[in-house]
Amino acid sequence: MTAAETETSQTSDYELAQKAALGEMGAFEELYQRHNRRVYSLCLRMTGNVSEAEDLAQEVFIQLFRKIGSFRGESAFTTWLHRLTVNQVLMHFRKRGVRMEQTTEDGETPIQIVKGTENPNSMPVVDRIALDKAIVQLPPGYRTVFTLHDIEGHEHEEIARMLGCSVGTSKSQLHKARMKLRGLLRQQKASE
Amino acid sequence: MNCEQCQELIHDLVDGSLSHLDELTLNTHLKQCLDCDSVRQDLTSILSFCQTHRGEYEAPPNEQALWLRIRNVIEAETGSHAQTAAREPSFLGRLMGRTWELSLPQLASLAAAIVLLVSLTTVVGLRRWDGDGSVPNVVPQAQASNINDRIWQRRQVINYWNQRVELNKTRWSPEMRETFDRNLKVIDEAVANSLNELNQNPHDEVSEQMLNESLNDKLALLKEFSDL
Ligand SMILES: [Zn+2]
Repeated sequence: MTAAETETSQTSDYELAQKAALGEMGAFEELYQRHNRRVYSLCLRMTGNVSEAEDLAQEVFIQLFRKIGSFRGESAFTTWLHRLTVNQVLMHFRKRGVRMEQTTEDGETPIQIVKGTENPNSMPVVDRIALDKAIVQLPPGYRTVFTLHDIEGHEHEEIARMLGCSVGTSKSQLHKARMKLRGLLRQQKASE
Repeated sequence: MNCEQCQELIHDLVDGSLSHLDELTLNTHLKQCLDCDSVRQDLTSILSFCQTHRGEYEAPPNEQALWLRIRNVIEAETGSHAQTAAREPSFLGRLMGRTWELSLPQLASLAAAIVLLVSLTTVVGLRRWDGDGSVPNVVPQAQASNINDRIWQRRQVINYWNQRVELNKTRWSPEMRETFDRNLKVIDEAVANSLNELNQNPHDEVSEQMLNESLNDKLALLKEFSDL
């Protein structure tokens, strides 16, 4: 690592944000390099679509540049950017008329496995590929709550605030999402 | 405890938010019910996978290309701001030094624009955007903390450009008028939707952001057509 690189790696996100706010593209690029994977992954998990996720990640960073002057450093930069990303994806859903709350059962995957139809010993193998494949098949509302709670580790209170729903709704959506995901993983396993 | 109640509690169990008493009851059921126990095992393994891999992120298909796209948009935007800024004095320049070159309609629209600009600065603070008649609150754009104030200020700017467009409209071809009206209708619908959402849920950041974007779109459309 060169001296310049060491220097860059020691610069805080907040300092970079301040420089970027003054129009320093180099500082903004460094923020992009540090955070683009996190932003893209979140978009990908929430949308389940690579090109949508890329477009959204692009939009997030453009929005970030426009708003970076308003980052005051009271919260962690990652938290701030994360919120910006979630909002961007939620906006995208709303524009497309996607409902966040899944009230009726869609697809054929039963949420509750009927007694006696499964082999309790055949645990679904959870790996990255299987899980990603199953997440993609979840309805957007389930996918969002599952991503925010189980993957990203947010509390229901935060999710409810982000989605503009009640804590109870966030919980019930998560429970349904998990059961549906379990069904999908089991289906994958059975068809292997 | 039936299976449905049990499976509801399993979520709290795997989240670690189950009371000791509920856990005892749940465990009794799980010992007797293979189906429910299998749900517990599956959810545990899904959650432990998620927790173990939290913070692992996937790179976009082409990180560098994505960066270049982002940079291009930003540079085009900041470039166009610089251009607008550069154009503004020439607009004033036309007013100050070359008025003899202006046609009568141009002069009239210019005069009207100035009148509007003056009335705009007087009107600011007299009324909020929603006309609730409360005490005026003049705040510079950057310091406006209240969303109503911010929206109201944006609307005043939009009104100014709207009036400019109205003055030009008489000269437009029917096709141009149709294009303008069609675009405006879509944007106005988006504005109305966001306002509706905000009325229902005043703290909804997403609606606020969407409203902001729609107002930006409207401003851009008006600015574009005000020159035509
Ligand atoms: Zn049971």
